[in-house]
Amino acid sequence: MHLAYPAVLSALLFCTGLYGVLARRNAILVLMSVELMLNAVNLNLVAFDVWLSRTAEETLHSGQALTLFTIAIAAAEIGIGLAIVLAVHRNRGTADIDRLRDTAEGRDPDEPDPETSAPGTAAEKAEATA
Amino acid sequence: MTLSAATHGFLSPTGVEIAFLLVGLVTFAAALVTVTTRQLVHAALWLVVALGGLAVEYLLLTAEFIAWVQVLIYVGSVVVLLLFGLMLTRAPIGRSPDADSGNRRAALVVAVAAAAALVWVVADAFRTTWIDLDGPAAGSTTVTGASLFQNWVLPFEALSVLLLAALVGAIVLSRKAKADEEHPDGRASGRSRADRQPPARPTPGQDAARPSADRDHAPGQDAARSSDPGQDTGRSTDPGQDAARSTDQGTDRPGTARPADRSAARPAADGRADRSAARPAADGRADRSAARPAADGRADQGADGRAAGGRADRGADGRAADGHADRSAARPAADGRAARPAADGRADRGADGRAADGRVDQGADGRAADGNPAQSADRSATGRTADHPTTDQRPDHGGVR
Repeated sequence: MHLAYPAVLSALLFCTGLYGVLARRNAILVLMSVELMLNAVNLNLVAFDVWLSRTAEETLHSGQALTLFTIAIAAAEIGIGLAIVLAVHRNRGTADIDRLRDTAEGRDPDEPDPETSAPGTAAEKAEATA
Repeated sequence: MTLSAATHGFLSPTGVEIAFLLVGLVTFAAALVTVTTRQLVHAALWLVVALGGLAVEYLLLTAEFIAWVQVLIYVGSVVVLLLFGLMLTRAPIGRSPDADSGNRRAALVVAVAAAAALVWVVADAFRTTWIDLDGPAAGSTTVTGASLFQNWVLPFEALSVLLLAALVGAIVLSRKAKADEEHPDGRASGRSRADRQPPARPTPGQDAARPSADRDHAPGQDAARSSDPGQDTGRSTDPGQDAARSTDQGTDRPGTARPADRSAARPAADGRADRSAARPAADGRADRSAARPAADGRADQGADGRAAGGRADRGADGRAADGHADRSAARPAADGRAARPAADGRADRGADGRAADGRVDQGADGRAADGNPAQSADRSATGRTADHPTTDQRPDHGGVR
């Protein structure tokens, strides 16, 4: 098989995930996009491992071993990430990462807190905090 | 490499390549839909397609063990976790207008530029490189297991520790907030918010509780006219005012009544708490079924059916109006909840979106028996009293006739 096929597919998937990470607002959708990126990397690892296991004399199958590790770490990451998202949702009433600007620079102190200014979100927030 | 380049034509795809290309197209399309769809649950389901397609690609690359691990871990658990997350953050089921952020265009530019650069470089770099897929599979389970447990044992074991740490971390993260909720002094911000919130609401709560209590008076007096359960109506309305009063107490003193405030604010907040708010009412169903008929249905029936107001009163009030009302008055959270839904209820729930009118109504009704909620109480009271009174009625008739 042409090595360019999996490599190109992997690059496309990675960029799809990149777009998702940058463009999505919901934190869980961002996590999904991160999963896509990790899978793109996995595909690359597997493809190159299969290629190298034939061409190189001695490989430790490091590509496949690292793929397994990546999958395990991705599972741990998604668990922790969802726990964090749920904690944020419980505290703030939203999983919208555009609204979590507490550490943003250049924030106008006079500007009302977007969470408290909008009545709908304020109610939501009260729900989550209370 | 040069050898394989010599044996392969550049544009003569083999069957495996065609299969890889087709599955790759499906995978890429599913990934695109995943990151562009506005329906959050659909995004998770399209992610299943993308990850499954990748599993097929692994199989085509003869990495069977990784393919099945992919199916197990990603399709099996990660997507389910994501769906759980979507549900727990109460993501909208339908189209959500704000799934994409404002910097969508910039993200598109960045992604397209990165894709163009990567594809160009990768295609150019591996133009003459072929993977030899013939012969024994490079990624069979035997090969993977041997290499994993010969060369990668230490990282493998370290990974188990990492998974354990992630497990503990996830549990701690999701437990901590609960501990904070239980201790009102836990978080200053949360507390101040909880204090700020309830006093704003009970005011309308009182307003609604009182008029509805008055409204409840009317049918009660009808009942009183036909028979004479005067105390009946009196008592069935009083608890409502008790409830209103206890919300006053619960909220007017911000210093002392904090737990009540918090627990009163919470249920209106998330759907789960709503359900648990409705549940106490469901526990006291005997009370409710007795109390509500006392308010509208049963007293009338008792009045119509026979003049024996005494027993109906005892059945209805003695147990219900007193017991239930007292109990729910003793539970200030319940009263606050009852008063508030009756008050600004419907509008808030509209803002709430998914707070399930039915459930909140139920919560309102359950405590509505204390004397307020007017229409909604009547509405669902008709439903539920429809069976209770009839069961109650029969022995009564039998006793009278």
